[in-house]
Amino acid sequence: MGNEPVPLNYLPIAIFAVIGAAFGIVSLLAGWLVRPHRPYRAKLLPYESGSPLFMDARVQFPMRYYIIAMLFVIFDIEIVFLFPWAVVFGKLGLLGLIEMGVFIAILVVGFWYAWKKGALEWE
Amino acid sequence: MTFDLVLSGSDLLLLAPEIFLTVWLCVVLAIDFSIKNLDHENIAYLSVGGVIATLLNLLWFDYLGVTGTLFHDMFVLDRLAIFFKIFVLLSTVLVILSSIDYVKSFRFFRGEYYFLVMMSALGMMFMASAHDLLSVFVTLEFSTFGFYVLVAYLRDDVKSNEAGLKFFILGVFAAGLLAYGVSLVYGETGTLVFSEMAHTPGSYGLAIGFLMIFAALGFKIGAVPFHSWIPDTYHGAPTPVTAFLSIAPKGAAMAILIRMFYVALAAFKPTWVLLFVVASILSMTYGNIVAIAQKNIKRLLAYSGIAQIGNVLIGLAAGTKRGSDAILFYLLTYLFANLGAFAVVIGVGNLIKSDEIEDYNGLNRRSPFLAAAMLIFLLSLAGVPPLAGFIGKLYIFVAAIDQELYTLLAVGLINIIISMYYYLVVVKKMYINEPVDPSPIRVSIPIKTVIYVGLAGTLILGIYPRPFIEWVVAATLMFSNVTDMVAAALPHGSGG
Amino acid sequence: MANLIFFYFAGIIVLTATLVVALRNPVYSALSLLVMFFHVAGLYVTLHAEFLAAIQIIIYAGAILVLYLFVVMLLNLKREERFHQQTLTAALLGLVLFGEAVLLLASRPLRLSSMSASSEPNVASAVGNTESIGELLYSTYLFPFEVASLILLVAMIGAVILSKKGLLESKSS
Repeated sequence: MGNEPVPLNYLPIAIFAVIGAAFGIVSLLAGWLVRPHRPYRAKLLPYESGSPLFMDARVQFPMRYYIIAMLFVIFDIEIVFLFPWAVVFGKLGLLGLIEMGVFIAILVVGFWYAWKKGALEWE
Repeated sequence: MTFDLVLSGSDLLLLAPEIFLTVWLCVVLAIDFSIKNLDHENIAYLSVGGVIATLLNLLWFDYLGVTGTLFHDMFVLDRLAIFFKIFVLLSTVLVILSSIDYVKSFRFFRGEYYFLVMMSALGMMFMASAHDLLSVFVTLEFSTFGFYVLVAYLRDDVKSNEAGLKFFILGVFAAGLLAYGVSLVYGETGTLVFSEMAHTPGSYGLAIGFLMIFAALGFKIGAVPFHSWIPDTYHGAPTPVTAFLSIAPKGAAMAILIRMFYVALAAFKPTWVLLFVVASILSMTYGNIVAIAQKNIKRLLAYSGIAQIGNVLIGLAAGTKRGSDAILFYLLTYLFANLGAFAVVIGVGNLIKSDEIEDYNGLNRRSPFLAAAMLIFLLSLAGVPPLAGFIGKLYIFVAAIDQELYTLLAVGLINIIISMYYYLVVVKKMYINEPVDPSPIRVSIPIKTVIYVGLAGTLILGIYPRPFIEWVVAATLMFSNVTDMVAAALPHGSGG
Repeated sequence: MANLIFFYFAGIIVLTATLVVALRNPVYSALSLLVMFFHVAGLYVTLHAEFLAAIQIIIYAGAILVLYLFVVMLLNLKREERFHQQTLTAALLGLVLFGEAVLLLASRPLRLSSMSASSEPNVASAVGNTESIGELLYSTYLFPFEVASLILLVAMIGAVILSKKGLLESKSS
């Protein structure tokens, strides 16, 4: 990796992203250009295996999704801290192990609490 | 960049109070959720025990003169930090004690309440030691997170939900400003540590960055014009949480403000003095005038708190060692009078389920003890001799006279007269008006304890303030050359 | 070339960020936010902050956005009801922030090349981005790191307290 303004080894990712986006856009655009435009109500309804539509897709989610999502975010952040730690673990040695041990131990208290309070149960 | 971190046992000793409290509150939480049907009062006393142990540890440190820095100057334990840690923990003990009866009305999550109070206290202890902008951000958010939950604790109460939402949205906005300000300052100076910033040349980026940081801290202490969340949040939050919110975060944020402006920005003193003069005048005047119209005692104390923080800011406007001494002493007097007044409000509120000032009519007939205590606390808040508030105000005004801030002094004196009016209206209601319901109000032992501590503090600080003044003078000893630093830096340090 | 890439990312960020607040359907707002997160990650890559870019996608696009969508679904917002009273305040605040930006830019010569290429990429690229972050985070910045775990603990317990229907207590008592 050099000092170029934009790291060149990310070019494949950029190309991949462009192709991915283009694939979606082009196929939708092509379909729109080619197909005949004669809409009527039944055609505009969402397709549910041929059976008539019975409810809106946007239902109200129960509260428990929120707790699950919140816990997911928290443990996701914990994982993020683990990546750089794992990379330099060799240099950190025992002190690094203790540092991360304290970090995880504090989070385990919260995890234990959530478990005991039944936040992880689906009821 | 090589890995360089050396942590010895003596380094960890500096963190001993925090480490102890962390372990303690985790244990308290574990006890709470693992023992079924444990009375929450036991959790409360367990929490009080832990906080008092930490408090004693810090007093011992203060006595021994333990000081030092850790983590490349990010964490400092000096006498200023110890003072503010003791300040925070003292208010925590009093708040936990006055919460015990209130928490009985919670249907769920009683034990966690004490855990969150201690968590916020821990965050504020870290704030008192924060010596660089990154730890300021992290510790400030840490202590505020606990408060977000505590303010909205009454889940079935619409007012508490509203209070929590307003506090949260404005608090997150302040956090955003803080982060933006920190990034600007870092971009300008290339460092986050206060003491390393001291010799940077002034620039717009630095000025805007520090203005944003000041806005975020001004939000924490509730100074005008960053006060808009205070009345509704104080009104809707559970009363003990309001009491906690009205004192501890203000102290911790003042610690950061003093450090930031006295250490990092000493060279720009002529510029920032103006900022504090304006904020102080606005806070005092706005808080006192709006307080007159209040019908609810919690809102009255909220506005009176805005006015009191205006008084505290006079000390920063003076920008001298004596100014910082006066701030510390003033906060101490405010702690006892304010928490005492809130303990009376909690005691009355637990029984009559109301915080309207109308319901304080004839309190003297219903409970002479509560009425007398409230009288003393309100008089101390107003600054009547021989109570603590008088010495506090005197100290602050002397610091202002030293710096020839006569406008500020005049505004401060006028505001004392305004504040006297609304405090005395409450007193009149308690002593002269007839009660609607003359049934006596009984006060529980924990609340009585808090009131006695508040009374003792208010009287001792007022009548024999000498040891406490010596303590605050010693706590800010490192600022004794702050004026010399200004003089040394002035020729090339003006502007910004 | 570097300027072109910077302006592409910056332009899309401004556009999608505006759409987040301007779109009336909260689900569309969230999707617009997703596009913004990806472009912010792109900007990080051009600044040689690869680790930050990966975090941006894992945390923001992966976790936080899911949380946003859950909350939108939880509240069952079909179309947002708007309050327009704050236009004046918003305009004033925007003006102040804009003035600050102008002041900042005016106080020094504008060098676009230094914006897209970080002034000190050598430090980071010599040993690898993640590695240098790791070394700093677990030595110099150990204190904020450990405090972060306490923040996560408060967040976890606060989330349970504020959203859990104390069912277990009612069972036990």
